[in-house]
Amino acid sequence: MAEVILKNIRKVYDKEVVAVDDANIEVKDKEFVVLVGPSGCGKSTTLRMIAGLEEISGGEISIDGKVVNDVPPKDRDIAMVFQNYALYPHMTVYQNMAFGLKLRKYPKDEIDARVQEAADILGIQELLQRKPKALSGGQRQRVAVGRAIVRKPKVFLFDEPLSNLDAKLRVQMRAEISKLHNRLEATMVYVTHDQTEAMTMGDRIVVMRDGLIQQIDEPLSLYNKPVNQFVAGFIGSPSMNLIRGNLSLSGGNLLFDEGSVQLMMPARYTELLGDHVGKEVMLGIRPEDIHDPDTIGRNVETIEIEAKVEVVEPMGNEVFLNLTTGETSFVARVDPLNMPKIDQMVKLAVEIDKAHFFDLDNEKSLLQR
Amino acid sequence: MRVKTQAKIRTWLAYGLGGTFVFALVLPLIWVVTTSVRPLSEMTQTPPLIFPRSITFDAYVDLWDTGPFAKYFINSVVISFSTALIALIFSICAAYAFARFRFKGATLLLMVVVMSQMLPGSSILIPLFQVIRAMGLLDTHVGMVLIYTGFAIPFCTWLLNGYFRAIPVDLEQAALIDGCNRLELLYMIILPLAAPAIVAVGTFAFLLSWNEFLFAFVFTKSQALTIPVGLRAAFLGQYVNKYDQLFAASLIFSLPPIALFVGLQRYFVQGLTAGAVKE
Repeated sequence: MAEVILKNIRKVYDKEVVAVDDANIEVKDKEFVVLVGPSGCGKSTTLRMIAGLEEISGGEISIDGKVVNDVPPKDRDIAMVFQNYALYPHMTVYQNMAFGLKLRKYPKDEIDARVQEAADILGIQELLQRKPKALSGGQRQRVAVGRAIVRKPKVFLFDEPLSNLDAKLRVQMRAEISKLHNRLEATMVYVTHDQTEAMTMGDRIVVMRDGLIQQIDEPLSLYNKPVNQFVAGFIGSPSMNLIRGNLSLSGGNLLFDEGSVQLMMPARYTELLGDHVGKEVMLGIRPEDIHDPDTIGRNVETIEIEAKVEVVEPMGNEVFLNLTTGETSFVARVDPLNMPKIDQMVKLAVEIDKAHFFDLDNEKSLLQR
Repeated sequence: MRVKTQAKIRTWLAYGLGGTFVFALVLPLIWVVTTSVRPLSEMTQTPPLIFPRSITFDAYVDLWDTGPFAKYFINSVVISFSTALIALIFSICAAYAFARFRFKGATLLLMVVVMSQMLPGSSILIPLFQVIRAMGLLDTHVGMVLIYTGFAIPFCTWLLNGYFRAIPVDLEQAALIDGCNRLELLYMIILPLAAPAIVAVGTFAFLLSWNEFLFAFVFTKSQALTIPVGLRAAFLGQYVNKYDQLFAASLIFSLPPIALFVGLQRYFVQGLTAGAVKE
């Protein structure tokens, strides 16, 4: 197994379109790194550059200490799982999985042993003689994963492997790939646009946007300490509420004033945000940090606000409320204990300690926590 | 009830039209078959008889004494198969390049290739004759294969190009990662997947040279004479008109292409459904 290092990686199409700009990623040995971001953010391009399917316009990629910029895909000792499975339709499942080994001239018993082992791991023994068209989507994806693991490559690359599966199967395969990672102890790079997949699977997550890396961190650090407004909005579901307002000083404490919502900040914020008094800032608060006052613990510091319920989305174990107060709309994630009705005015407790503040111009987080 | 009657009328109309169309297509074939088995005396009769009064298979026996058909047949087979093979090799390579590689002038080049198809063959007959004569390839197999391959490649390339483009790029990339080089990729992944198209294109090239008359007539004399020209030379002369033998021979020599079609039928059918099951 091996580490993958991307140094100042750049990809430019047709001398104009910059797909990836100055990407620096260090994937450690046996690490599961997820590249996540909206479509067109450059995550797939980055993965394909690691695979060797895309030429590198600038920078250096090394796998296991060896620079691979000019090494063809077959000599990089990687395996890749594609979004649309990319199984060879004219070959059986067995042949599909054995193909890479056969090309590398492995002895027949070795090939057989490895294919059987992979089939055991993935539970596809009874499918080995079938052609891909006789398989369901989930089975095809398993075969695609099997084709990768028989090779025992240094690095596994996954390009949105679950996005063609239905929701239930996706959750199941997600867990299976995580299990596989633990079992194989392999270095894996995984691309997805789904933040849930990223959060649940990755040891570390690389958030990308418009070809630029926004933040590289562990899932919970990303969630708790997003470096900018984009990461804050992208990670977490439902998304963080972002409310624009003015900061002013009021009796030694900071006051966030949106017009219809005024939030008096606890004293310690005065020092943290002192430079921004008199300026407009973006306040970010996650739906799960807005509570029903009745269900909240005594020792949590909250600010009470009142809002009108627009939409109620019961999820079973929790309820998403779409609310408005004045001009501002936001979402709260509350306990289903007191389910409000539409158009009802409700009191909510904002856990102000969990609030984030972002600069309006460069969208960077103002809290260096 | 009225709707049902209308539907019935429409069905019968469709059958009627279809039947007429098929009859028009089959009529010449019926004429060939019946003429080949009727005695010479009935052939020139006015008004002509559709079905012969008496049947004789003499023509099928006698024709072998009239000309060296074994030789013509071998010429046709050699030239047609060589044409199909060479045209396939070149057009597969060209079509793959057009389908997958980005190079300057690719679109223009493909357009030129397709446009060359729009030129009527007879318009380049004389210049081509001069070229072939200068090369010393008149009345040779090589000369004929060269000409037919030239005619077949543009269409084959164009058709295969479309088919190759429809094969998902991911498959090729998976194969590249699995350890293929470009050539292995072509014959281990692309060719098996494009089998229906390759069979269709190969058959096209084969039939093109098997049926061709004009160029064979002008460019061959005795050594490379193919069936279409051979038949004409043997049976239709200034003093002979052996229509019965001509038609008998025509029937016999249309058997190889028919056998080819039947043998490769499953690929044609597969070609029709390939798109439906993929993805």
